[in-house]
Amino acid sequence: MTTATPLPGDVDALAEGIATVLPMGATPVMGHSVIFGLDPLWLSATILIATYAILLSEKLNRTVVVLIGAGLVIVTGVISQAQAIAGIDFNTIALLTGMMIIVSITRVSGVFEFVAIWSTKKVNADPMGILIVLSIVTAVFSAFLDNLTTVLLVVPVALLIVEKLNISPYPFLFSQILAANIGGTATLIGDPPNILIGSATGLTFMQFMTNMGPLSVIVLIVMVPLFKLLWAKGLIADEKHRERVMGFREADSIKDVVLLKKSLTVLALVIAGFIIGEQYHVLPGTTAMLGAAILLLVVSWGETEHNQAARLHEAMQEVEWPALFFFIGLFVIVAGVEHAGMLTILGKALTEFTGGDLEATAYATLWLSAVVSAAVDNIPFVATMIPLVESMEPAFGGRDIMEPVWWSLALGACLGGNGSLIGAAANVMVSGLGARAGYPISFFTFLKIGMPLMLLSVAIAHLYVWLRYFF
Amino acid sequence: MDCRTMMAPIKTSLFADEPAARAIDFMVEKHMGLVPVTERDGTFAGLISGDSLMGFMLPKTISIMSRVERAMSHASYLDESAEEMQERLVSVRGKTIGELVDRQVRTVTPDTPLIDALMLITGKQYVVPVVDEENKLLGAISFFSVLYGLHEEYDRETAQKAKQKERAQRKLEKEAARKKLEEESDKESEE
Repeated sequence: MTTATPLPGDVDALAEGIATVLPMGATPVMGHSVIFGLDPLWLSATILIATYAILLSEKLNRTVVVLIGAGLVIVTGVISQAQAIAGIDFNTIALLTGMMIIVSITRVSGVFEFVAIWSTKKVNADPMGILIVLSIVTAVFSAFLDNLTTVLLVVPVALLIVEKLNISPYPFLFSQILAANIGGTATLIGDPPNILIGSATGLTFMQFMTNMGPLSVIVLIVMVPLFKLLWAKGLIADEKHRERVMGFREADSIKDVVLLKKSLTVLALVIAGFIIGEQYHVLPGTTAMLGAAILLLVVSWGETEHNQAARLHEAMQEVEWPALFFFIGLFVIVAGVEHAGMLTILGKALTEFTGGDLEATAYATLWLSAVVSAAVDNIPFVATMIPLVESMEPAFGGRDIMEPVWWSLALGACLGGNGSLIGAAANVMVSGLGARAGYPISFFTFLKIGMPLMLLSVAIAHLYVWLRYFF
Repeated sequence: MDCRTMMAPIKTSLFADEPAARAIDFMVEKHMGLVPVTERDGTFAGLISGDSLMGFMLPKTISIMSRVERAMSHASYLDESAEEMQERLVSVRGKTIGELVDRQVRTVTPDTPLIDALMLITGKQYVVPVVDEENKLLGAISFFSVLYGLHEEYDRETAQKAKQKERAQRKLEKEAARKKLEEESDKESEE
């Protein structure tokens, strides 16, 4: 399907382009009827908004809420079950599942603790130095693994170090949150919004690395002096306490050298597979699941059938099934609004708002996604934005031209997570760990630090998008 | 059978407002790993255990994070000196017993069926406090009190059976003697 590229600013032509090019227009194409003859457009929008509202209230479990929403989309006839299943992005589900299995096996080796302690000793247990290196460690791990696992493994070590140094843990908790979200921005697999965007658009692992990676590094570099400015004064430890940290034996944190070698090899192969597989049209979901299966094979090689089954069972138990079903439910709800045509209308509205200007659309997407992601879970937001942005593509002249908008969406959603304590799953996890350890983080205390730093990072991203794509 | 039957009385009470040092010394001296604690008015406050004391002896982060799923499975990299552990012991001794007790403890009343207490013990609550309707501590049921109670019951039954056996034996002997006498007197009369 080809579409003549409209001239910038020709809003009507763009809007018309959207309406004529999209297979699903404002009038839904469905093979079955909607309950009580209701308008599918409004029905699907109501289900989506109600689901968002309940999610925002945090009164009910988020997975249960979206599964009910997904069920309603089908039983009310907005879409059929076949359309709902077709709407589920199994590449994303497979990628998440595969990486969860790989990380669950790898973490047992103790490699995460090793790196955290090793880097701590490299800065002679100087508190500010530790804060910076642990931020870098978390950012790097977050780029290649999921953020939740990263903070779950690094934060306890950071808290133990802080306890030994007898200093305040808050700067460490805050910096860990910020670093996890900044690092996660860098790659296709770093943060769920990127996984969703990569899977929906076909943007490759290397494209993410080369487009998002540099910005992630820049933001982290900018954050370091700000961390110093914010916290260096209070982070002072005496020699006796620093010696205790220097006495940590990082080598002893490696519990299973053979497992370490096997799991790191498979992890490296999977990342290589993400890069190479793109040339052969092998999607990241396949690579991750195949990697997980190979790792399960090599770690249980030579063991009895019973032990192999036990290891598989253990790995499967560590898969976060509620998170996966949350994604599945979301995909179905979004498929509902997409089929009903709501997102086409919103896409048209956004195009009109930005005057059909690609640059303005990119900036609007960046800031909108950042602000919304700070206030609500960025996963449902991005899941909804994807078909919306897709609906705008033909009018702007195709995916290649729209790439800056996609990068803006990813940057805004990932960096926006730093805006508040509920902005991303890693924030909630760190705050929960802190509270359990007796260091609760209040919403407003985090907001005072997180929001300005988030706005700064998005401003940097704005500048980056301008320089990189429009200068 | 109800809990009253197997309940052991609490001979020495630890009070929640006393220094933890007293509980530590008491547990070390008596070799007890789990002791019920009361308020001054006799109300049950909770159990103080060797487990929880050890938890306080660990670095705070490890003690807490080891209970968070997947967060910290080991801390082998930590090589602590005796001085560091001593510092924590001093800090623990300075707390009150009330700060160390586990208050999430299941209790029973004297009328509770014994089987319920046994199920709690099997579920790893090794001491089950017995309280009255005002939550006043009356005693406790444990592995030892149950075995001791059963042993006593066994002894009582065994002693009773032995007596019965003895009585029966004596009766048989008397009967045999009587028969013998009768036979002898019959013989004499025949002669």
